[in-house]
Amino acid sequence: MSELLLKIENIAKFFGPLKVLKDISLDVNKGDVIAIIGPSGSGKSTFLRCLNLLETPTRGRLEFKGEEYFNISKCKDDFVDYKRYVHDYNAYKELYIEKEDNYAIFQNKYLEDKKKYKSLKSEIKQKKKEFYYVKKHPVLKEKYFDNDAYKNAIKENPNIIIPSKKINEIRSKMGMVFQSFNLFNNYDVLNNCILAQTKVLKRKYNEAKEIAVQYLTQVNMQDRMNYKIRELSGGQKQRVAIARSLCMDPEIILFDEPTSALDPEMVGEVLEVMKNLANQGMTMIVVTHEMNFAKNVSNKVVFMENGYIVESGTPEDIFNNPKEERTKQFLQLK
Amino acid sequence: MIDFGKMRNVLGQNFTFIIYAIITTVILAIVGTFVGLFLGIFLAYGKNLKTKEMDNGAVKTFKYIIKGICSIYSTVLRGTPMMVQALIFKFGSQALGLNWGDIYFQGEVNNVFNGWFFAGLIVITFNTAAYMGEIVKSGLNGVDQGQFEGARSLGMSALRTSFSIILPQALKNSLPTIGNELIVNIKDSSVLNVISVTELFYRMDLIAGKNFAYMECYLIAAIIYLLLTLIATGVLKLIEKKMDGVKFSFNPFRFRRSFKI
Repeated sequence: MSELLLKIENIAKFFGPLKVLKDISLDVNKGDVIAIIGPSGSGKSTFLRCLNLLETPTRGRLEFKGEEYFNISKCKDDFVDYKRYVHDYNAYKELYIEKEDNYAIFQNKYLEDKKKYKSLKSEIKQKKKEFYYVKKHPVLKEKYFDNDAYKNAIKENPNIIIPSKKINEIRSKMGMVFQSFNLFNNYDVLNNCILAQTKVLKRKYNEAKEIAVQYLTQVNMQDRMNYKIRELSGGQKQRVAIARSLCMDPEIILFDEPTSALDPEMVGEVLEVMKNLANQGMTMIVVTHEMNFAKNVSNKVVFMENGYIVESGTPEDIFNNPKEERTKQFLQLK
Repeated sequence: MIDFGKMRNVLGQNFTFIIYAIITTVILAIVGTFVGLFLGIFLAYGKNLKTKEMDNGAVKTFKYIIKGICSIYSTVLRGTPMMVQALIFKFGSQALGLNWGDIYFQGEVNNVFNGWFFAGLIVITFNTAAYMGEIVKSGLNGVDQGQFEGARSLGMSALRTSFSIILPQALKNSLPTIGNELIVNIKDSSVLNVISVTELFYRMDLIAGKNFAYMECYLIAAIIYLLLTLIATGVLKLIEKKMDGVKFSFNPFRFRRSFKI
């Protein structure tokens, strides 16, 4: 039985009214290569960023190697009385339109012929007052938020947000490779790999350099170690980014669409590096649009849409006989 | 109109004083700019403070107060002329019982480093800091957010990320504007003559009155200011090239290819 590395329970992420992730649970075992596929805008990247808390999830529970590092079971949105809110909001909207019309009709009438409708002036003032009163007192979401119930719920199972020092420790064990590389522009290739080692893991410079050279050789970048970042091509940048996260000896690496910004030739060289990593037994979660990579390298494929996991399973199951209609449609199988 | 003989005489007779005045101007500009830059960095971070949803009430209030102080500081100091600030500083400190004119040293040193010089240095520094705050702030905001995320994903703390990754890039990007501020300071230090800082303009003004050679003296002042700013521009260009990683040579006679192959 393989060791459970990362436990993800009921993760949700809302940006105001926009619900990007609704309810996602996933277990990641040691040595797993999980490919997350799905249409653009389905929350794949947000999900990945929630795992190392670059984005704070609204609700959910995260566990790394049996150690809980994030737990919010109740969020504020749960205590908003949406039924009443929507009802009142609609009523308010109607009232607003009515008062505005009322005011506008009289006002226009008056403007048509000022002398003739002079007597209307006081009435217009009244209508104006009524309209602005309604305008100034909108229906706010806060009124429907049950603060006491929220506080009680928090008292029962308090939110666990661990101190930032601990978060940094967990992040250092959880490498991340970005779509836009995010290499440090003010350092050269070698120092990009050394910096975090010396500052976070407190390694000696020479030791860090040895490790950096070792991993840069692994990604086939050994002869470009003194290059500036802007002198590299996209594929080379991405390989350096992979080496940079490998230098921290991570237990898991999160890939956020590592090949989306590259041309087909460079995609090949980056995927080659990732394939080698997978063969060495590195745990990886890969958000990708490369279906061939998902099919050949991963041992679990997750299909996500609209903030839910629609279907997950082995690549054979997903690509050859998917159960859900939506998966078939996305993969264009008939 | 311009008597060149008179000009030469004036230069010759007051050469040491003019040199002292140049030194005063240069020190005012350089120290004012760089200490101002140092203060400006704090100001920029203060103005960039953002309240998070997770912060509790006390932290939020603290952040609002810091942000408010920083923006009031830069609004006031940028919105009033340095000449007025200098006079307010002079008479303000007099009211508090500190007369900058009382501070003086024995000997030649007093020609540059005297009480008024230090008063002028304080005024120019705090005035520059207000501008620098704005410059550094725009530099900080100009750095790609991805750099921050990249560093955080490796486990670096927010403070460490700021000092190792974000700030160096922000300063590099805003170097042309910072250099511009240095050149402005070389010229604008002349307004400090209102609190009798003997910088270049004030010294030339005194000499002009003494020798009745106005046109000549102001022309000399203009030429010296021009030379100083030209030197500053050149040095800044070299620094910029060096930060860009392009090798440069000090040899002006070296043959240069006009295009890269």
